[in-house]
Amino acid sequence: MAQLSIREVAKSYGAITVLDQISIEVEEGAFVVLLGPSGCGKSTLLHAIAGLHDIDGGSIVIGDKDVTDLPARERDVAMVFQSYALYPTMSVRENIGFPLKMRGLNAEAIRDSVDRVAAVLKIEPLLARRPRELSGGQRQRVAIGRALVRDPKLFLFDEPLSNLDAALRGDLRAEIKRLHQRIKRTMVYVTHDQIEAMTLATKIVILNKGVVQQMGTPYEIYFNPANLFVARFIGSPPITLIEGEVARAGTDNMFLLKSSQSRIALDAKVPQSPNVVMGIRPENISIVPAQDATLKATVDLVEPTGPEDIVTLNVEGHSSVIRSPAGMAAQGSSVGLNIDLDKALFFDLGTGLRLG
Amino acid sequence: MTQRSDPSRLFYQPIVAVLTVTSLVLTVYVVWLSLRDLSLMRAGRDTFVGFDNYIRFFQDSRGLWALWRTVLFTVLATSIEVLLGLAIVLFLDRHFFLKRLVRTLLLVPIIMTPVVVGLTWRFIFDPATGMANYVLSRLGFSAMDWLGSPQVAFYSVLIADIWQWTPFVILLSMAALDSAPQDPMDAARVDGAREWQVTWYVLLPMLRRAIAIVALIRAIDSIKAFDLFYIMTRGGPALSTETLNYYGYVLAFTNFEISYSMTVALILTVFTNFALLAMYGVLFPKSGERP
Amino acid sequence: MIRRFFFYVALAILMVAVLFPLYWVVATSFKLPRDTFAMPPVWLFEPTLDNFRKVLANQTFIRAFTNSFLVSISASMIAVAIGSLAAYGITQQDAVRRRGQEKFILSLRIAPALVFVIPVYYFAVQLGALNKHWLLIGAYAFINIPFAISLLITFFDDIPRELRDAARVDGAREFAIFWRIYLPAAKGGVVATLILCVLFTWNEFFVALTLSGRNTQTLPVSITSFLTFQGIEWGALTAAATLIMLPMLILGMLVQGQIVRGMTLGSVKG
Repeated sequence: MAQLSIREVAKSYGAITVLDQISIEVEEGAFVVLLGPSGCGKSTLLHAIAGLHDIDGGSIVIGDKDVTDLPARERDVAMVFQSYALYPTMSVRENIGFPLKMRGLNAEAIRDSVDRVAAVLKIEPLLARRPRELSGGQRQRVAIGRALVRDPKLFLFDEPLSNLDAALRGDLRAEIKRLHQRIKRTMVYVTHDQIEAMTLATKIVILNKGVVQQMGTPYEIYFNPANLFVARFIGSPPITLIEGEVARAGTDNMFLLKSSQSRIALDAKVPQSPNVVMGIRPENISIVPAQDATLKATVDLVEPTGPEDIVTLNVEGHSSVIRSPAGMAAQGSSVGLNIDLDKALFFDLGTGLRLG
Repeated sequence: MTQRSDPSRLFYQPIVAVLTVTSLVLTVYVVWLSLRDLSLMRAGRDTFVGFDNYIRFFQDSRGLWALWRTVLFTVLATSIEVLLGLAIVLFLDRHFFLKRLVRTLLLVPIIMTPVVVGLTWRFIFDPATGMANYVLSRLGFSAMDWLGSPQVAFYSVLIADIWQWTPFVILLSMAALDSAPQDPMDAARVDGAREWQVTWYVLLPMLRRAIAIVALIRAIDSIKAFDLFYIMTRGGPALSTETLNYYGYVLAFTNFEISYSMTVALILTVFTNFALLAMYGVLFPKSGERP
Repeated sequence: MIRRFFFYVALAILMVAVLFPLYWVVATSFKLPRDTFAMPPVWLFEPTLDNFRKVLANQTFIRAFTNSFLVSISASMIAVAIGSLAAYGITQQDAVRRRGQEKFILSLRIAPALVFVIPVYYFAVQLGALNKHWLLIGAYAFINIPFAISLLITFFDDIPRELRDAARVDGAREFAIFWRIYLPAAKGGVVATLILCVLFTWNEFFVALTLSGRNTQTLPVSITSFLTFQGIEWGALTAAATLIMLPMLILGMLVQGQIVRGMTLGSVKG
């Protein structure tokens, strides 16, 4: 269990900056998820923490030890890879026991530890097999076992569920969460999947192009996004974005849509600004009769999912996706929308930063 | 989809039939010849002699020595080429400037006509004007009669063979390394392994299959090696470089003892088969494990 | 920093060892006789084209060059033509049948050439064919076919099965699938196989030694004519050797990506 401190870590490949002065503090026992699109630097950062990549600037501290210049084997971290990275020529038992062998433990101690871990992960029947004889889910369990067996200071996960099919993903995700709650070790987890991030993390770090966009709990990230990127990245269906201007009209603030000159009355809390994007989460939009509506829209597409429909709307020139009770919306019809303005978020169009 | 007469079979059945028939005919003919005493010196007067030729071989000291030299050459050439090749591959396993060029240049020994390779090394080993003795003299050693001394000639040919074929091992291992997954090696590093342990426990086992294949190929080719022996030493001096294949050639084209030559060739084929099976068993131990 | 220096030094030594014989052959071909035998060796010398002139004026050499060219290319084209048909057929079979065919093809590689050559030699003598080109072409084609089949199988295997299925659904007959879909898709592999066959045949010595006559001698055999009783004419020899190797070095560079695959018959993809 350790505190992990990433201080102004920078890395470039030639002219391309992959990590741009990243600073993150991780508390003991936390489950931190590095979230972001492909190429945002999250995997590179994880490999840097592990000691597999060098960094060009900054430092990495695990516990009270500065490990920046230490090779991977001296950092006391364990890593679970996206491709599982099991040793193809060794049996499952030898795979899990390998780290202990590198430590110099005797055969009996290794055997006991491997048995213990295998019991925890329920993979005892697989111990004599080779990796190529295992299914994806089984391989991932073995990879986790190999990480567990050492009881390291830090657990690193590099998109471990990406190669699994959807059903398996859900099961293993829950297992990882249960594992964290049981052993209470510090874990750093990389993914591009926001569901994984939201369900597993105690703290999420969103990265884009090597820059930290926001750090916070899943709730903070969801309800209080720091900028447009975060707001767009988190949330399914995605947030509805409408461009406009916030101006004064008499004693009230008004939101004027750029596309249609409709107006919506706003609270005085929102600062006035000529180029604003209003963001509304789908759960704060509902279809209502026209006379109660804040805005009008036409229904582009209705995708039934059982109890709900996923409805794609055209809101005065903007695309919007919301959930609606089954059967309420008909494709091609015009509907009225009610927007819960208390929950609306406002962003500056140019910088993407949150306003107010 | 199972059709009664799958038309795609017609694509290969004719040629495979031809190959099969030809092989059978050749085999039968060769065996038949080996059971007679045909010699072009006494053409037309050959009789059936049963296994006499085979018995003769096992009493033929020249033939048995030739067999021994074949074994020695094969074992030495294959093992040195594989070990040296592996060492060099591990040495080259990093990113460096001009790596692609080096990889291309490693092809040169393989592509060079074996006859030319033999001639080149013959010049290098020339006692008076060759580079080998020149280098020796600069290092303070006395000149060696590389190709003229019965004790040394065999090893000189071996050196030429190693020079030509080690790059093959290198390139093949490099190709295998290219397609080997990198992640297990990273995993080993995180698991606490030092670089040599990563190489020993993870990397080399992943190369096992490729190395086994190249060892097999080199072994079979070494047993049948001919060109270098012909060009560099003609089997001499004093038969010190006469391998079984060469002996068979001499029997046929110098002594005109066709039947005995075919006997030798058959013995060589059988021997190659045994060597192949033995190597196969050693290199791919698990029964049912597809190589 | 120091380690990198030693690495490059070792690398340089390795490259010198690998390339020295080629360098020596080419360099000597440009040397005057006095430089060729100079001891200690001469690194900077006055180049001359005399050796090349001598070689190119030699009728035997020119004829051998033509023979090599003719025999290599003909035999290889025949082998690849027949081989590609066979390889296509074999790749469409189920695994069991395939293993059997592949094993048989591989087994042809084991016997020494002597076993093949003697009967053919006998047969050629009967037919008076020892000095005929078709004997060599036929022999080399026969030898190359198993090699071509094995190698082309690996290239055809790279083509997804779905292509054939899609073509069958579209109504194509077997040969059309082969001709219009597999061959174009495996174009690179077919060319590589062709070049490798040419390479092998061009460099081959034993079969040429035993089965060629005065008029059909190929280059590797003709070069031995420079090994006269009076001693070896190194100048002309190295010039001839350079000319022999030059086309192959160029071809080799063209297929360098496939050489490993070729020499292991696809067991290891290069």
